[in-house]
Order: sequence, then structure tokens, then C-alpha cells
Amino acid sequence: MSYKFFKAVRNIRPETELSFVGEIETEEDFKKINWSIGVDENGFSITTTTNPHSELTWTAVKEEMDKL
Amino acid sequence: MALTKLNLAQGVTSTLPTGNGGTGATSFAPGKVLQIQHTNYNTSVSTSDQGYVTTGLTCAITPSATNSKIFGMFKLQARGNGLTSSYEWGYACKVDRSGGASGTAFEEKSGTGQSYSTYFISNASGVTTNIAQHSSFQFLDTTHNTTSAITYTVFAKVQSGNQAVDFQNATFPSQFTLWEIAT
Repeated sequence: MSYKFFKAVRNIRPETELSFVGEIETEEDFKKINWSIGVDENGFSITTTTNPHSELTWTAVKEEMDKL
Repeated sequence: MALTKLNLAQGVTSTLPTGNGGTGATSFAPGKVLQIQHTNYNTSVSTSDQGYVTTGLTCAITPSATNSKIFGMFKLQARGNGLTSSYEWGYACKVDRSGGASGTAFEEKSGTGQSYSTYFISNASGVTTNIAQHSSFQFLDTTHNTTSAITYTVFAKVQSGNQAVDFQNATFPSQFTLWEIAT
């Protein structure tokens, strides 16, 4: 299931970096995604749960997932 | 010669040798396993991040001596999704300490570039690659210097933003075992 999600995200915005626990099946799940906004000096991802990509709305991603 | 039998269960007040049914232990000999801790983890964690993020796999131990060694083994279950065809898929991992000790206990290869030992390459054009596999890693922590609880956490990063990894995919578990070894 996560394959479809990642594929949908990539189709809308290639090279998007993110991580999450469990599956992304609802808008509530979507709000819990950790979006990468950089890497620190130790190689750790700097993340935020505030979606920094305006084109990656839940509606757009879900629509893309439904096409796959 | 007359044979005198001693009642070692009552007549010996110090440590009883193992040959006489005792433990033989007056101290922990080097190499003795002092304790084992184990984690079996099956919550799925997915990432397409090229910076390290947690896999969710952790194991905690409270060393009984500051100079003991902690031997760690972990096995990561992962499903790889190549999001474009004819693309290399892979991930790298590291283990960091928190609690009584901090810093990195293990890293496959630090820095950027070819720091990935777990990878797969598909040369089939137009084919989407998916692969499920297990990879095992080991490390020896000789610098914890604490008797406070330490949590070891496995972090991972993917090779490029065009791919994704599901650790503990479909609840297939990853495992992490820690041995405390006397020195």
C-alpha cells in the first residue's frame, strides 16, 4: 500500500523526501507524515509535520493514488 | 590410603568449585555473558528520506559495569520500492545511543556517496522493481562507560529520493539483540 502512496507523491513531485509510521490511508494519516527539509551535520534528516510542498495536498495525492 | 569424604555443601564457606556442584564464580571472567536483551519489532516504518530517520527498531540495556562490552546484532526486514524503472535501490543504516551514553555505536560507512551495502539494481527497462529482504549487522560498543540504561536505535536512509523503503513491511519483524560481555 505504501508503494502506491510513494508512487503518487513522486508523480506529483519527484524527489520528495519523507517518512512515516504505518500506512497513509486517510487525511489524518497524511498529517502525521515527517517531511524532510534538510540534513544536519550528523547526517540526520531535519523533518517537520507541516507539509512544505503546496502541490502535495491530501486531495491531490489521493486522486493520484486512485489512478494507480 | 584411607579416603576421607568432605561435605562441601556444608564444610566450605567460600565459593564452591563447579566440579563440586557450585557456581565457581568469585568474579565475572572476561568474555562471560552478563545479560541479554532482545527486541522483536513489527510496526511498519516507511521512508524516502536521504537523511537518517528512525526505523523504529530499538533495544535497551542497563550495563552492570562501566567497562563491559556491549555486543549488538540486529536484522532489518525491508521491502524496497524502486519508483522508477532501471534504477538502483538501497539503504544505509547506523545505530545511535541515547540515555546513559550518546553518540554513534555503529555506521555502515560514514559520509556521502557509496555508503550503502544493501542495494539492488534493476536493468530491466520499463519494469518497476520491488524487493523484500533481510540484512544483518553487528557492532561492538566498548565505550559506553556507564551503568545507566542505554537505548540503541537503528536509523536508516535511502539511496535516492526516487525510491522508498518499508521497514517491517506487512508486520514482518526486525530484531535487535544486545549482549553485555564482561571484560
